[in-house]
Amino acid sequence: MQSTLAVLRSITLPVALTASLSGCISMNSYIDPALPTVRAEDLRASKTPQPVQVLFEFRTKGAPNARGTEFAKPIVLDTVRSTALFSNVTEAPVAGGRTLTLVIDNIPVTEDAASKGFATGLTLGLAGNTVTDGYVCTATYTTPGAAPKKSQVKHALHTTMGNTEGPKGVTPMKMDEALPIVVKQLTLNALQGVRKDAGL
Amino acid sequence: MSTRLCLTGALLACLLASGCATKAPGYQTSIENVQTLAGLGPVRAAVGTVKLDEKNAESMSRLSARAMTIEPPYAGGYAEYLAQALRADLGAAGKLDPTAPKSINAVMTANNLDASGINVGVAEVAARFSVTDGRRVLYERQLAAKHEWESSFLGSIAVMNALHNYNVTVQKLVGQLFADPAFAKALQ
Repeated sequence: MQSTLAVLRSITLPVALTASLSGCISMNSYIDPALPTVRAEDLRASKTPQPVQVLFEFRTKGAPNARGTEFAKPIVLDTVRSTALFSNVTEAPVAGGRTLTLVIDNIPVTEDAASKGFATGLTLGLAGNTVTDGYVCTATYTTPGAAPKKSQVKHALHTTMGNTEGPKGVTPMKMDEALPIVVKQLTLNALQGVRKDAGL
Repeated sequence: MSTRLCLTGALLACLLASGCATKAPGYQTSIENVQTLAGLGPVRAAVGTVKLDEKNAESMSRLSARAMTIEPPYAGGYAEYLAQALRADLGAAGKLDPTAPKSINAVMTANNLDASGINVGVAEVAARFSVTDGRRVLYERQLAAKHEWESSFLGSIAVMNALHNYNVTVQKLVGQLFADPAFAKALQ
């Protein structure tokens, strides 16, 4: 029950699990190529790096998703640490009171995804379908005495089930490979936005 | 084709009927609660005694979703889950101080999880919270939180949804406490 794949399934559309139960439906995930590539090594502080407290929450359709948070938090923290923007990244309050709040909200882009997914599952993949999960990452950087700086980026993960071709020119992946990459890309892009506004 | 359907049906039936147990994930800090606490100013509090109400401690110490027993992630059971929730949110907001003279205490009076519905899952938690300074009781209030979420006819999905939504229910409960002006006044 606690496997990585099980957690991943809980933070994407339940459709994925429904489909996988049959064991004979092919599933591939495709990371949407629209989001610009930001490398951790490109994110350097222009001033002396300061410590920061990171607060992270994964949400599904605006509601907190504890299992999603449990899965994605280590990826988000590692990603923030992999940049040179801060001298120390911790979940506890830091000297100076700086906080970076990151929220990733999973929004089903295909509104009827559940019904489409069930159709695929029950016909054992013969119909074929694609569902798209949208992800909105909001980063808020707060320094005591200054107005909070906000940055928001959007991303998408397309998952095909059954006899459906994926987007052309995009590498198919397993869901457990794709989602950590999506989380990392969202975090780096959101950090880049905050860095500009906050003058980090 | 019919064999596949039978196998799929059998798997689903097993998932729905199996008497397995799984552990609930640990409490995840609520950003909303941390922000509420951050607005309270320079207050500090310890987390004191958190326990189950003795009258129905037996039933509150067990949760299940479909036929699956949901075990608490902490050795101290669901009372410890509530204590961890208080510690996690207070800690992230910089308000937790185990040596502070003021303590937040709680007696859990309700702890229910219902994932039996095909469309909707529901959890309810309640506790009698108090803030004490030595023997002085500065705050005492009964609070309850009810949370509903989208469930599924598939047991595996219903259980998974129930697991992470229990956390949200506890977040809502402690969130009510932190947002109570009388609680804020007691900590000043």
